Amino acid sequence: MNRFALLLALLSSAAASHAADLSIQVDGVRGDGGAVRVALFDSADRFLKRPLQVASAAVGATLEFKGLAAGQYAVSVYHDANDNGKLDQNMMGIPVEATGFSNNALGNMGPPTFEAARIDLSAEGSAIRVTLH
Amino acid sequence: MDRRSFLHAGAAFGALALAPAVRADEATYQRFYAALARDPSLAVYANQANSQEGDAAVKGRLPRDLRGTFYRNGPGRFELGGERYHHWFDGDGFAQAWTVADGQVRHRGRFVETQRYRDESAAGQFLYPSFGTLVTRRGVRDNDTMNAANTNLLPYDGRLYALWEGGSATELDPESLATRGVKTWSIDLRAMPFSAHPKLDPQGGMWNFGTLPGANRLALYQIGARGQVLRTGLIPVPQLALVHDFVVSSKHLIFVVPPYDLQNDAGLSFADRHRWAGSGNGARPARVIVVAKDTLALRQVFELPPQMVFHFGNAWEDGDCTRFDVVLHEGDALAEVGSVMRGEHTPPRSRTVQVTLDYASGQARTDRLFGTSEFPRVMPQVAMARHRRLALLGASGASPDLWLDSVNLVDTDSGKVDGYAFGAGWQVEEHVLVPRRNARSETDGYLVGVAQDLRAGVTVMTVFDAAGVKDGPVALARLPYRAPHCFHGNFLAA
Repeated sequence: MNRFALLLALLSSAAASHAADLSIQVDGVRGDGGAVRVALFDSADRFLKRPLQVASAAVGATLEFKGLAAGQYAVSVYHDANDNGKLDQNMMGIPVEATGFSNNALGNMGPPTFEAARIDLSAEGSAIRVTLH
Repeated sequence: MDRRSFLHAGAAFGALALAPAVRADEATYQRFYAALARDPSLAVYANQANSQEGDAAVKGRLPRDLRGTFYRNGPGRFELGGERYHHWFDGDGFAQAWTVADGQVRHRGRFVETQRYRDESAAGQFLYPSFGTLVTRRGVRDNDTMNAANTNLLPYDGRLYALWEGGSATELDPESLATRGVKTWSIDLRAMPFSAHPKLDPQGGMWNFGTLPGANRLALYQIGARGQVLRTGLIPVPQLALVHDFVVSSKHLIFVVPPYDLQNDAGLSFADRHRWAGSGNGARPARVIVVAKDTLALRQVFELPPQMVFHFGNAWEDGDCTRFDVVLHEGDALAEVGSVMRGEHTPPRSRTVQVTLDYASGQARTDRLFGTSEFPRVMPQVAMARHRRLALLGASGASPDLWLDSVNLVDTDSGKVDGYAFGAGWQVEEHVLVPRRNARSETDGYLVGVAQDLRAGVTVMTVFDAAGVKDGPVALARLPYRAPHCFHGNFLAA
């Protein structure tokens, strides 16, 4: 990150006092059974470990996190097709239910980094789309 | 795992992660074309760009009772955006069908439209890692993102599957070869590695296995005749490296794990992470892993001298022993077969043996069947039971570099060989045994394959009578063009 970008990042975190809404539209879901589940993370340390908030909705509905501080976030999403409350995996530990991340970020044989999935939420809020694979 | 921590488990398979790097290079491209200018026969490993369709000119007499489609698969696209893959196993699958009927042979070839093929075609450059070339221009969700569907073409239960080694089967239309999509045998098997060498049970159904880099586990599958998943299993195998094929008897699933150390170096391709551990200080043996079919549990582990293995023939139970045919390669054959991508051919150092596993003594004995060879096959009706004939490609020695140029049917009891050498100017591909209807013996049928006529630069389908291979092909069906070199295929009788 160059110094100008760093300055912008500092400014945006300094402005993190206003409440912002984040809405998430999920694409690429096959079938209409089960639920779409989203977890919201606010740091690399907590990414995929300790979500700030979680939300679930029927397939097709838009998910929303309200009243967030402006700042940096990442979301992970999966289609809980059999509605058992967990992300099912195959024998080798690979998710068999569709998954996706903010920025439609991809990892390498695993989830992406927080940095790759990071979105900057301004005080005005934001609407994002995540495609599941 | 509860929903709060979902995707945390991804860290487990994230251990297989690759670092950002691009290593598909223009140097391989330039070296290949310089070598091709010196030796036009290297065109066998040239890039294929488009679909193919044509009639073959038949010389000789096609047997009236040989009717059906010879399905084959191999890597076709090696180059994109001025870059060329490093390893032969990397190219995108190019499915081929030779249809034999009424004295005529028609050929069709078409790329398997995997996600990788579609994405990279759209981008105009390689994006994803492949077996021997590390490309990380775009992230991968799982192993199926990298699936090249380039190793075998299997007709099964009225459907057709393009098989790879480290991911799902890809279903194709049996007529047009158009891609239908990724095959998921059951939802919990999504993205599971389904090897390119399933073994068809003459009684119905098939067995297969799969593994992933660094997984140190072999997944086992028993699939029913209608494609239903009957049983699955998971066998832990420490220091597991590439396992390409296996062999099945009436009672056992048998694997040979060659001595490779898998380097945990994210800057290397999967192939380059394999470090040969079969020579020098601390040399390790090859391990024969025997799994009982009835329990899907490990039964016994045997040791063989350090050798590389790609392919097996057949296995059968002989009293308290199991016997099987396997092609053993000296040294790091994995890297050597890849070098043709830069136009360098390393003469193979292989031999085919029959291995006898003696459970009481714990000893594995090898008896030589044939010298330099590859691509073993048996008649389908004797699979998993006592067999007496093994089809093999050999190197007659007519070409100093030991290109595979001969077709052989080996009597596994006596060691006698019924063989035919095409000789210099030819490169022979896998030949499969096709029984006549109600065949009464293992020579009651045909040996059908493909050979590359290197001088003419065209591809030829061959038909031998399995009872007289030495008499030469009874028919040759010559295409007006060169079709990409395949790895494996299967003949589906009409």
